[in-house]
This record gives sequence, C-alpha cells and structure tokens, in this order.
Amino acid sequence: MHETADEELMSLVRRGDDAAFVLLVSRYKDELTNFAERFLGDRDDAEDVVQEAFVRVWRKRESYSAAGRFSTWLYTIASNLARTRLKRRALWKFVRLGGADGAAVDIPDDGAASDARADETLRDERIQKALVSLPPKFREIVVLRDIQQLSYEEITSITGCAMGTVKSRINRGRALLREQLRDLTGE
Amino acid sequence: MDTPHRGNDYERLKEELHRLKRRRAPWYFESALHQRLHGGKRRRAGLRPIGIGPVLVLAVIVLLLLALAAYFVMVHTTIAVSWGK
Repeated sequence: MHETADEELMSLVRRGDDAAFVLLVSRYKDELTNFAERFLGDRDDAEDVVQEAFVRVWRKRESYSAAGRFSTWLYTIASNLARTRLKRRALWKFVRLGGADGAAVDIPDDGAASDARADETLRDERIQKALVSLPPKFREIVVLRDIQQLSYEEITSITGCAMGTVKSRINRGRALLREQLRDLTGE
Repeated sequence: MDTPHRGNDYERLKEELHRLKRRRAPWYFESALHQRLHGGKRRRAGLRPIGIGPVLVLAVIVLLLLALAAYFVMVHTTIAVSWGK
C-alpha cells in the first residue's frame, strides 16, 4: 500500500478506508506543515491549519475528483485556510499585544550544535522574518515555488491565479526578498 | 522557466530557501487529528474537552456553599430556639 499513488489512496478514502487516509496524512503532514509555517510565520497557526485541512479532506472526501492531483487539491484547501487565517489575524491585530508575524521562529538548541549549524539556524531565522514581511500574495507564491518547489502549473491551480500573474508575483516577491537579504545573496 | 529579477544572483538565495523545507509536523499530529475526527463532540468541533479540573473546582465551590448554608440554618435555628425559651 506504501507504493500506491495518492489518487488511488484517495479513492479508497472515499469508500471510508481509514488506513488509506492515515497513509495520506503521513505522506503530507510534514510538507504541509512546512508550507503553512513558512507562509503564516507562526507554528501554532500552521498546526491548526494543517489539521483543519486534513479534517476537511476526510469530511469532503466524496467531493474529491480523481481528475486532479491529490496534492494540488490538498494544497488548495490548506492555502485557502491559511489565507483566511491571515485575514482573521489582520482583523484582530489591533487588539493583540504582540504581532505573531516573524516572532515565532524557534531556534532548536541541541547543545552540541557546531558554529556552522548555528550560523545556518540564524540565517534561516532571518530568511523566515524576511518572508513574513512580504505581502501575503507574494509570500504565498514564493513559498510554494522556492521552498516547496512546486511547478508553476500546480501553483496556478492552488492559487487560482493565471500563469502570468503567478510569474509576475514570484518575480516581485523575489525582488523584495532579495532586497531585504542583500548580505545573504552576496550583493 | 524561472526568471530571477536580475541575472542569476537570486540562485544563492534560492538554495537557502530550499533548505527551509524541513519543518516537521509535531509528534502528536496524528493522534490530535484522530481525536478531531473520531473524538467527542467538543473534539470534533476543534475544541478541547472539559477536563476533570473545572468539574472538581465546581464541586468544591458547591460543597462550600452548602456548608455555609447549613451553618446559617443551624445558627438561626439555635437563636430561634434560645428566644423561644
């Protein structure tokens, strides 16, 4: 069953197969958590979004169409939930004492980390902060393309944007990111 | 297909970005999801179930109020009996 394609597993899930669903969750939970955390900049929000995405996959399993790729469908659900979460956060921002944006990057401390590893961690933190400072419409596409390494076709399906829009947003997002991380890019 | 803003100077940053693909779901992710799907009513609604703590606190408060009420009833009964003498 571990070699089975996502779409075949999903057709089993549609028939109520719990084991197939568990396998899909184990295949995508890390990837989706990474996407949500890079996009939202907050670990707890990311966990909530990913959990809710899988809950919706289970509850809406009947509406899944095998014509499309499962991963694209899953990303679309997670992406919509993440965007809704960002909007809600923006609405409540004025009552929050501290914004979550960019503040929730945890630096693992294993005690024996080498200097190189520590430098890498600090660089990651800087990049995450720079990412979170991008406007969401650019950030989403940069994360999907440059971190999750999805194809442009997948990104157009997930975001519902035209190919030209995706390309212009990624160029703009990259330019903004590079502007903020000049020292890292060696400019 | 990628068209970096200026030349290939984005490539280095892109390598750094690729490295960021390593966040993991927490170890309890599957069990939390299982609870969301198959747990009680509150779990399915995405809420935490009410634990034993609040129930115990409520029980202690109710017992204290009952004890207080019993004390006042006893005191008033004693006064009434002594006045009756």
